[in-house]
Amino acid sequence: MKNVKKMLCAVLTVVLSFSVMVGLTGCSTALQTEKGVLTIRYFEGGYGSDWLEYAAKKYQDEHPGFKYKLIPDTTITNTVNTYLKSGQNLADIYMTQGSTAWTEWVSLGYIENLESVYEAEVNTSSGKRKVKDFMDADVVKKNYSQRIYGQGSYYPWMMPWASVGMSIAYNETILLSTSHTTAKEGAWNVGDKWTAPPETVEDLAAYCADVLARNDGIKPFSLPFADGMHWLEYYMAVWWAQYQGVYEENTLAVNEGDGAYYDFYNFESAEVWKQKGIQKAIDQWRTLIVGEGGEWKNTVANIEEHTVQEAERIFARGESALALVGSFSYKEMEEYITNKDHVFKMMSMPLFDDGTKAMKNENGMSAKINYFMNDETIFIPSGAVNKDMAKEFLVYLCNEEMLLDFTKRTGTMRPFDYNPLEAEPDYEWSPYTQSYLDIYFDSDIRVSNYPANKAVEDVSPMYLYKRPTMFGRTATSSIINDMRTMTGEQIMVGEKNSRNVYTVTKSYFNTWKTELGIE
Amino acid sequence: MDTAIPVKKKKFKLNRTARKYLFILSLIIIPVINFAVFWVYVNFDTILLTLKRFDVPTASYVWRGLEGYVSVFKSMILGGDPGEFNAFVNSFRAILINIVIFPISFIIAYSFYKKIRFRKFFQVVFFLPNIISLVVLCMMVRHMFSSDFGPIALLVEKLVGHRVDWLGYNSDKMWGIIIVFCIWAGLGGNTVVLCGAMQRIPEDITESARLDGIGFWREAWSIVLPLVMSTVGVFMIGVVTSVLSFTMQPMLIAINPGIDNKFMTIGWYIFTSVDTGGSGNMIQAATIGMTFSLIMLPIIIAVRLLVKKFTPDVQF
Repeated sequence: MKNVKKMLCAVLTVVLSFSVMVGLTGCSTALQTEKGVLTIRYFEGGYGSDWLEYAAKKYQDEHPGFKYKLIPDTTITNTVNTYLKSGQNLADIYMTQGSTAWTEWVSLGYIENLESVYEAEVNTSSGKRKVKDFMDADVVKKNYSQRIYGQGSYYPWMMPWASVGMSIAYNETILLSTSHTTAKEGAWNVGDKWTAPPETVEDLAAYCADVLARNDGIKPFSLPFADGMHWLEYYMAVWWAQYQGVYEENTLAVNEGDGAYYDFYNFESAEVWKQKGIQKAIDQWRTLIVGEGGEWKNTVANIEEHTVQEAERIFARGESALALVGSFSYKEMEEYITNKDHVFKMMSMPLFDDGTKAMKNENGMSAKINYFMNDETIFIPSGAVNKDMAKEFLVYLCNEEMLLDFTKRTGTMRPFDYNPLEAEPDYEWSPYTQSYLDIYFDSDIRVSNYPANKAVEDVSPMYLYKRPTMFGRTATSSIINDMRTMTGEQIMVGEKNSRNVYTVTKSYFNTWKTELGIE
Repeated sequence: MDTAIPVKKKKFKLNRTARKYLFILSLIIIPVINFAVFWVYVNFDTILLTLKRFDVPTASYVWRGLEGYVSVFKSMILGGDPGEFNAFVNSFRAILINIVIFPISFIIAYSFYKKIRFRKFFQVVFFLPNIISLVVLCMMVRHMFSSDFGPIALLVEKLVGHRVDWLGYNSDKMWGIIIVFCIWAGLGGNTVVLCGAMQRIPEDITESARLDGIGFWREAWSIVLPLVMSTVGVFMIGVVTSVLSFTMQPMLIAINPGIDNKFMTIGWYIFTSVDTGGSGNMIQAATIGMTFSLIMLPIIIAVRLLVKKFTPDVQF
């Protein structure tokens, strides 16, 4: 009996010790990034892993002895904050879908200054250029801030990952087989087939009517209102910018002093929510998808139940002629395309109303404005083990050769001054990617949600640290619901609407200012 | 020749009491450390966080006292922010759900206890939802009620003659679907627990009652229920605490929180806030969580006392 007890005691001791050791491994540094092995934890989504695997392998071939570890992670965008806060098991490079909290990470010293990366020279088709000069001039500013607000110089902390185009996709096969049911002077007659995507919202509304007139069950739009309502904001931003003017006021539609689209994002005061361009943008959607009785029109049924992916699948099956997409969407819907003969493309965002009052470019023509999301970011944590190695690799990724490879493999541009269409004239792009690239290079302005008309030093802390959105404190779902019964003006500033966006947001504005220490 | 006399080394040995305490210490040290780190420290830090705010100009957390609580009280409890208020009110639907679950679970468990035909089959059927991932179950529900291809929605469409849209962001039927789902998915676990309690009832008690001519329902009400009252008591406390953890079911079925957070609960609200990463959101989430806990604490204690009073432990 005594021996059994002793044995039992020994077994329990071993088990207990083992448990403790296993438990402690979570706190140990053994799992941390190995010195000399570049570890990259990246969001595995629409871009896939091919491009990064290729880049790392190529870098290894050119730098014998270079070791790397790639960790795909679908949750990294949400979990990276915890990694940074804990300082444990940090990768050398993070590639995420972005976070509005990055300036706070800078303040807290979580992430590394990328000045040396931005100042490094890379190979481009026009010779050696500094990364910061090679990068899109508006996007480059987006990644600068002071280490601590109000103190010292401005440094870049993030690298933009991809320049995701957001626009309306159309099924070209349906478009080319749809006839006009109404005439437009100097453009088309009744019975003519559509030959090109609509260029104005009026034309788009006409196209919707023509699609319905086919009477073959195809609906104009497939919309994702279960979880993708915020997507409407991207398209609204374009109409708003066309109306308001991007860098300065569009005097065809607004008065001087009303503020331009980019002025909004500097949030000088709550008055920016009074910009009429936002109201106009809401009204454009009302024209397209809201019926007279407040019901949804020009869409497939049950849009309030459809997620982004479900809406894409309906579009891929040819049940709708149009969908709201990003440049990455084709990869998501590719396997659901039932008719392989159908061709899918992205269109340049149509001009608001009939296009006459839209902002003009320097040639006096209506400016082509499209929305490009540059929120997805790459950064190095300050606690990384292989910081220098990580910086060298980030510079390497900015060489034009690697940028071209990225675009070929993912169908998406990175925001740098390179042109894959010119660099690789013989490359066979898919029609979808080709249309995205056409939009990218044909756009007079690629707008984003940043006060790009301000110098880095003049960017308001309200933008850097608070990031209120187009609808301030009001959820997009509420706006879209209100859109069924209210005009853009009533939603944004309506006196009879006690919960209008301006009034609600204004009530928070002074609190934000106090928190930021600005008067 | 000198001969050294070997000195017998005295073996160090702990006395019996010391060994006893050392043994107890070795058993509890890990749970105590675990408790101290993952409960005391974490919760203390959370409470501390709710009394601070992130100050951008100094890049540090600064003291703000109860300001956050006052703000949350105004917005969440008094309805200053309709979104937060709705999330707060919706959380209490968990009580309703669990109150409905209890009698159904009791009847099912009692039926099994009375050895109804095919009880083994039914036991598996009722317990099945508990061994399937909640994500899968919620997806099934969405598919069943989908207006595009859901069998239930299509059946209703045939009956009423028009399409039904029950999963939309402004649907009036959404809460009905969530509640029905929660009841269905929650039955199994409670039934198993009650079954276990009923199995412990001594055979001679029920046999004696039967000799006295007791009926099926009378036995359930007058014999079985009082004898499983201690289990019912634990269940009742769970009914109240479920308010704090009511998160996943509405989140996975509704997906969209709806207009003014029509379908959101406090748990979902906290999850969403933390998910976005900023310290402001973290602090807001922590403050809301703490406020909610402070509100629930006296209620839970009161229920505990009532349960203790009305569900005495029965020895048999």
